[in-house]
Amino acid sequence: MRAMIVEDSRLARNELKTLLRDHPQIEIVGEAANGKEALDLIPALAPELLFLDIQMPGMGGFEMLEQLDWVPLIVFTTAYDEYAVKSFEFNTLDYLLKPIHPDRLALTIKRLEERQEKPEASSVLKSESHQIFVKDGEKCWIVKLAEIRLMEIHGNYTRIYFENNKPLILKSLNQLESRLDPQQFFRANRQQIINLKWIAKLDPWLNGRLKVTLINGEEVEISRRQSTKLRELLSF
Amino acid sequence: MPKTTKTRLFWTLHILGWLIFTIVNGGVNGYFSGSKSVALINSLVGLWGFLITLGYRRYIHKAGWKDYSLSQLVLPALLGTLIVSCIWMAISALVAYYGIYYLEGQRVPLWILFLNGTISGLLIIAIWTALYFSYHFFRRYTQAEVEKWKLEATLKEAQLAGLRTQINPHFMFNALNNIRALILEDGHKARLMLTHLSDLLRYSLAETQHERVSLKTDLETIDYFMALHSIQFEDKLQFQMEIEEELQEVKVPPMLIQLMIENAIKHGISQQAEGGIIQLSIRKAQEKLSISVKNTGTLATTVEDSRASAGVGVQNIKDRIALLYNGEAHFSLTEESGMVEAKVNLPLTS
Repeated sequence: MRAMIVEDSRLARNELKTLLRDHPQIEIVGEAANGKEALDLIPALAPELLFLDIQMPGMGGFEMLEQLDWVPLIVFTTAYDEYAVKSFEFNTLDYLLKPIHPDRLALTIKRLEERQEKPEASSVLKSESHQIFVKDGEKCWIVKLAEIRLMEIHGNYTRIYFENNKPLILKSLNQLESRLDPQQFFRANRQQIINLKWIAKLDPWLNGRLKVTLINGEEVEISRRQSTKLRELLSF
Repeated sequence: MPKTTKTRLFWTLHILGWLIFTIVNGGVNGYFSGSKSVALINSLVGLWGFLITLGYRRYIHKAGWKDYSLSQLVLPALLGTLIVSCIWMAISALVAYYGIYYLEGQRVPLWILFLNGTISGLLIIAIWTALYFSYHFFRRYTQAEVEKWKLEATLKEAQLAGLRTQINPHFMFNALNNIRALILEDGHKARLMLTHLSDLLRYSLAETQHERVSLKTDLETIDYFMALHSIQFEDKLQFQMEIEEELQEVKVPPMLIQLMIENAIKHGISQQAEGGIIQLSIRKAQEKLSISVKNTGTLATTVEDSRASAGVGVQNIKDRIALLYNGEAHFSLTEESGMVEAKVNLPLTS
């Protein structure tokens, strides 16, 4: 598995590399000393896994993730950061406290392998197992695209709906749409994009338009032009 | 004041007051009338006043008037004064009536005797009541003051304890992690760093119990502190130190300088990917101890960063010197040509 270490202290990077020698299945393809360096390297190296320090000079781990379009699997490494420990609601692969205990690292690697065995874990862009990093005030999530049922324009931001959360992300809806799989994410109207897999009910509405009810009960009206498209998309 | 002292004071004043009243009242009236019976009767009036006001005091106790505020007390005290003085005068009138009858064989109408003493009786009881409650109000006030001081002192102690600089856990665990890597790379250096870390920990456990330590002692640990930071930041951190020699024995709050440096690292050096310089300078300026910590960077990044961490460090420094030096110490944070300077001015104490 191709991994990258993003960590400001040279000694800490060496320490992690030393510990990872016991796990040859992890191949270190690159190292970065801060968020900016990492942002330059990640697209080129396309790592599947990041060991990421949260506090780094210049650009910290969170800021870096916010700028990535798609985030790889993340293992956070931190010296002492209650914030990180508290804020991750779900779907972070793991976080490790420095100095890292070798047994604890072995557990992380085991979790990683279990995850890899599942067929969904492919690194193809725009696939539904892909995840994005979301930070809203104090809370952070790494959300799988498949879990997002609705995206909505909110000024320059976009509100995304998943589980019981609806945080804002600093990307426009158009920006997001251009990167989403049109087979799965459908532009319902000027304001909203829906995840087709989350549709519970489809009703005819005024003037030949359609109204969609999502599994969680949210109702979305489809514009007239898009209604035609949606009919085409869903017809066999 | 203990209860017994308080009681003794009451009795002393109570007995003395009524004794004076009795002597003056009986003596003056007896002298001017030239009659021993008038003197005797007036003395008995004094004795009755003494007894009735004792009963009055008992009632005040039971009714809990002592806990009343001044405004709550006005009406009951006026009413009480009126009733007590009426009772007193009624009894006094009876004493006088029968006293004059038996001693002089005269029958003076009761109502005359009653009215005769009303004004002075009312006045005496009013004075007694006023004195009695003044004392209690004064006592309550001083007690409240003392409690306030005590409370303030406790609060100050607690605040200082809370602000006492402790080793930042983030720094400590990073140092440990770096030392772990250093063991493989440079065993000798790793051993040295481990000693520095333990010295620093010991210092933070022991010396921070004191309000002030000598600058010399505090500076020793700064060397360790900076050495440990240098294995984290390596060539990204340059440290320069300039201290006036004669200041070695001056007293400073323990680890205050460390806190300033830590702040400079957090907001200055660790915000810049390329790192930067920290300059510590300690001088005597205008009879004050001037501690200055400069770091490369701008206040803008410091302020923006402080949104997240809310400028905890700066606030801690400010609170701590305010508590320790009662407003005689000053803190400032300024920016000039790419350097942010945190400055603390302390009164010179040795």
